[in-house]
Parts: sequence; structure tokens; C-alpha cells
Amino acid sequence: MKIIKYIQLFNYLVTEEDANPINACRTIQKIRQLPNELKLAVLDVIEGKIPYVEYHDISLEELINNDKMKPIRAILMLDWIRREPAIAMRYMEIEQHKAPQTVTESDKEMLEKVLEKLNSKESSIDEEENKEDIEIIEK
Amino acid sequence: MIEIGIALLIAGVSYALQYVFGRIRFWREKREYIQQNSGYIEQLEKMDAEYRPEKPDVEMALRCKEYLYQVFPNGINERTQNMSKEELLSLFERMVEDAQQLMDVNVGTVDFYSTDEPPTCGYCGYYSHSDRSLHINVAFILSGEPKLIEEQVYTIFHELKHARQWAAVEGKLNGIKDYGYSDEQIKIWAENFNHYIPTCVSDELYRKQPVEFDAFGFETILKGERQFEVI
Repeated sequence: MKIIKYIQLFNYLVTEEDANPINACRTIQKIRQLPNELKLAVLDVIEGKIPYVEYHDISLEELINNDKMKPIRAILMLDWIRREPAIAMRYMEIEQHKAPQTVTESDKEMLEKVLEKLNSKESSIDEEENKEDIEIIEK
Repeated sequence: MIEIGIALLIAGVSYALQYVFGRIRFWREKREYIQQNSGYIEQLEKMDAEYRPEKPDVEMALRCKEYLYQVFPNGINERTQNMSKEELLSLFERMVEDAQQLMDVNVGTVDFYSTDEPPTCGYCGYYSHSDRSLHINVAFILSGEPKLIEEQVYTIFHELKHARQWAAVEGKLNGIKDYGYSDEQIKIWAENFNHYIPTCVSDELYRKQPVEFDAFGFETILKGERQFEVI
């Protein structure tokens, strides 16, 4: 039985794929869901090899060399192509060219305040009496 | 003089542009190949059907769709194919102004940029909330490639959809404007922005997270891939 060492994988993601610790953990969660063939590919990558794997005529090398993806990101992309080829290829053709959002620390402060406001509103609604509530009279 | 400036601008980024367009063509060919599979359309329809916009978004999408029909009654390529570069730029500048009005958002700065620096050279554009600025890749607009020009029209609306999500979330805090979205919807967007998933984690998770699912879903209405009506 082969084993992907969690610490080795985490360190690889942080040092080789520029992930911060939180994002590395998120990626590892996705890796846990991969089929065995792609888990073996992850193992090869962290040991310094790029294996030959392909689905729907798209190889790992194609994604790494021509779409400039880091190897683990490419393996996860290949898994998506394997499961949902139409959706994943539409993404690769055009949707990937829409840039991701950037969220700054000051944005996060504002977001925390909004969530606090909405959550307190929710809990006050929970506490309010409603004429539709069902009262149980204890004897 | 403007023509010379534009030509120099495009020459500077032509390698990046050719690379991006080469990849788009590669993936389009792959998509065409797998379209022979009967499950192909079904798969896309199933995913797109999961986009369920709230009433304010359906109304706005229909306004934007009607606007695009007025500007491009015979399609985007039909109107843009014989335009000069100055005419194209002027059209896009006007569309950004009109789209802001239609979507009830106001970005501080609009930047038609050009660069050969990755990854920005490969992006259609982006919205930056920190300085409320909209950035549109002008090299794609002036590329002469109908598919890229068409995509840039939708990029304006996609990025302004993000601007509207941010405005709704912020509006909920200061009580100015929430566009009529439910608290639940705003909470979903706020939580997602707070834990935003970048592409380096997983392209699939990035694409399927709520704020992106919403912006891409909005595009499917504008592109006519989904039909909605206000009840």
C-alpha cells in the first residue's frame, strides 16, 4: 500500500505551489476525494515525477506545459475534466480568463461586520414571539 | 496618431495575445470533439439550471439583455467586424457607462489596460473592490478576433456583477442600499467573499463558489443560454 504523507504534501503545496496554509488544507481536502489513479499521480508529483495520465484526450503534461498550471492544480483540473468534461472544458476555453476577486484585509473587516449584523438579526428573529407559534400549556 | 498608439500597444502584447488565443482555440476544438457525446449539452444545462437568481437579478438581467439586443440587433460580430479601433474603443467606453446605469453600480475608475505580464495579460478583465475600479483588457478588444471581442462585451457585465455583489453586501452594513436582495443571499455572498477560493486551491471550487456561480450564471442569461421572465 502506498501512502501520501500529509506533512510532505502540505509542505509541497506551500513551497512549490505557493499556497498559504489555509489554501493548502483546502486543496488536501480535494485530493482526498480523488480516484486512486490520480492519488498515485499526486504521490509521483511530490516525489519529483510527472506521470502520464490523460482523460478525454487531455493529458497532465498538456495542462502543466501549455496551460502553465502547477502539477497538483493540474491533477485536480484533470479530475474535473474526467467527471464533468463539458463543464470543465467550457471553463478552460473561456471562463478561466475572468480574473479571480482580490479580497483585502480591510474588506475582511467589513465582511465580518456585515455577517455579525446579519447573524444578530437572525437570532433576534428566533427569539421573537409569533402568533403562529404553538403554545403547550403545562398542567 | 491614435491609430499609431493603438498599433504600438497591440504589438507590445501580441505574443501574449497569440498565446491566449491559441489556448482558447485548443480548448474549443476539444469541446467540439466531446460535443459528439449525447450527454454533453445535458451536463451544461444541468449545471446552468442550478443558477437561481433572485427577482432583482432577473429584472436586471432582462434589462441588460434588452440593452444588448438594441446595441447588437444582429449579433456582436455583425456590428463590430468593420469598426475601426477607435470606434471599437468608443463603443466599449459607452457600454461601460450604460452598464453601470443598468446595473445600478458606480465604479470609481475604469481602466482599459494592456500588459504582457502574466497572469493579467491572459485575463479578460477584473473588478477590484478595494479601490472600486473596473479593469478591461483592451488588447482583447482590439485583437481582431471576434470571439475575444464578444467575450469582452460580457466581461463588462460579469465584472460589474461582482461590483454589485460587493455594493449589496456593503449596503447591508451601512443601510444605504441592498437592491432588494434577501438577507440570506447577502449573507451567502459575504461569507463567500470572506472565505474566497482562489484558482490555486482548485479551479472547480473557484468556479462553483457562490459569487462566481452568480456572476457566470448572470452571463448565461445575457448570452441567451438561459431564459427567464419576471413573474
